[in-house]
Amino acid sequence: MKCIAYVSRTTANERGINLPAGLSNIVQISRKRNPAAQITGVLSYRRGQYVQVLEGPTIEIDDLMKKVLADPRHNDIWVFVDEKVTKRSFDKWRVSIFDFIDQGPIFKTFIEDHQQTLDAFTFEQKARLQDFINLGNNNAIATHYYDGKYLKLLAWPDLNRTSQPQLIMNLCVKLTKNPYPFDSLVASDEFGTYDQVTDIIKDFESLGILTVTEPEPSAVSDVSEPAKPQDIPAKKPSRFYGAIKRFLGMG
Amino acid sequence: MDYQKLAIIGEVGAGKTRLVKTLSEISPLETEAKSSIDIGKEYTTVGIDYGRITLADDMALGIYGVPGQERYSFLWEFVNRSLWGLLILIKYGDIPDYNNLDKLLTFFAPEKNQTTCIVGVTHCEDADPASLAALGQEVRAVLMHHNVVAPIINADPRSRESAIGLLQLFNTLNNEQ
Repeated sequence: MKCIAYVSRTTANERGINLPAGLSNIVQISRKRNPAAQITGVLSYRRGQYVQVLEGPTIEIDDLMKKVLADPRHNDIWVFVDEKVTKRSFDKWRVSIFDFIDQGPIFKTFIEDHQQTLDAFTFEQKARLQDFINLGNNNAIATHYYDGKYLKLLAWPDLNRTSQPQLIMNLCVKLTKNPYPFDSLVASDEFGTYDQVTDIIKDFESLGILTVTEPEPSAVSDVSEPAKPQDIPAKKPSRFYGAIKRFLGMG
Repeated sequence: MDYQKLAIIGEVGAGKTRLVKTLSEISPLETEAKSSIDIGKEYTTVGIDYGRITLADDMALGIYGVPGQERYSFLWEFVNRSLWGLLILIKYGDIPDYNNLDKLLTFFAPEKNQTTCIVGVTHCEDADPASLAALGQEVRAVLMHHNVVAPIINADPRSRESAIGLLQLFNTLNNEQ
């Protein structure tokens, strides 16, 4: 039995954009094929790169890797683990599209089983894996880090994987158009306690879908005073907004 | 007359025609024709689907179902004025044409034009969660490239509740600063 782990870059399309085009197709095919080939592991995608760990019978893994190496959807492939193993780190083949995979319990065993290999990587190699595996850099966010800061989404999270989709949706609405003060999210009481809001925001940031900025000097007259909900100039609802609300039975 | 437009754009079979029907108060103007090739359904829209919601004597929301293929971009021109919202429908199970989605987002430029944009994933009622998440991530990557911050929502064009939910989200997002 062997284990292979690789990182690859997505291919640029005709306009030079790097897209994970075909990811859903890879997932669909792999979920059917891998159990039959006794292949376990994990596939993850973040910011233009895939990471995949494959473990199983040597012949099956080698065969699959040949296909990956020939697959035009993968560029600049770096196989960072290629070892004979006697036991598996994963109980099945999974997809972990968003998570920092080293922060998930499913990846813990893999990290432990291959710690020596991972520790030996150069700074550049660690940097390449940084979006997936935090090798030695302490990125812990300080307590009260978000206080006084402004937040804006770069993308919406996957609402299918949250336990509170309506709450997350309401919160995302605030962060979609313009930078919004963290303090106002907390003060509104709409999204839970300070710690709960902080956890949601931390989650967004770890997914790479949030920007955090300092307030513009003109936005607050006294930086020692946290922004309050009333500091957000209320937009006068348009007539159209009210009419749609009435039509929807919300007005 | 305060007349604004909701453009519903998507590839063949994504559910544009059905959604316009679900939302519209009038019998929608349809331009369906019998398909000459096998596209998985007998009729397909060759032009534009049109529906309307009257909000007051002098106020209405026009609903336009427009094909997503670039060859119909003359219809994109037509709807790309007074846009209240841009709804992009993606059919789960098909591999989306990302080059086309890229062109569509370049044309409508929701970020530059401050147009509220939502992506609705259809035909996903029985979707495998991992494949659905993967599809969402593909779409998210394209949106992020265009700096478009848009929710990706499961949508059922046949369901009035689902359609109304989309309108609510558009309205709420439009009212944000």
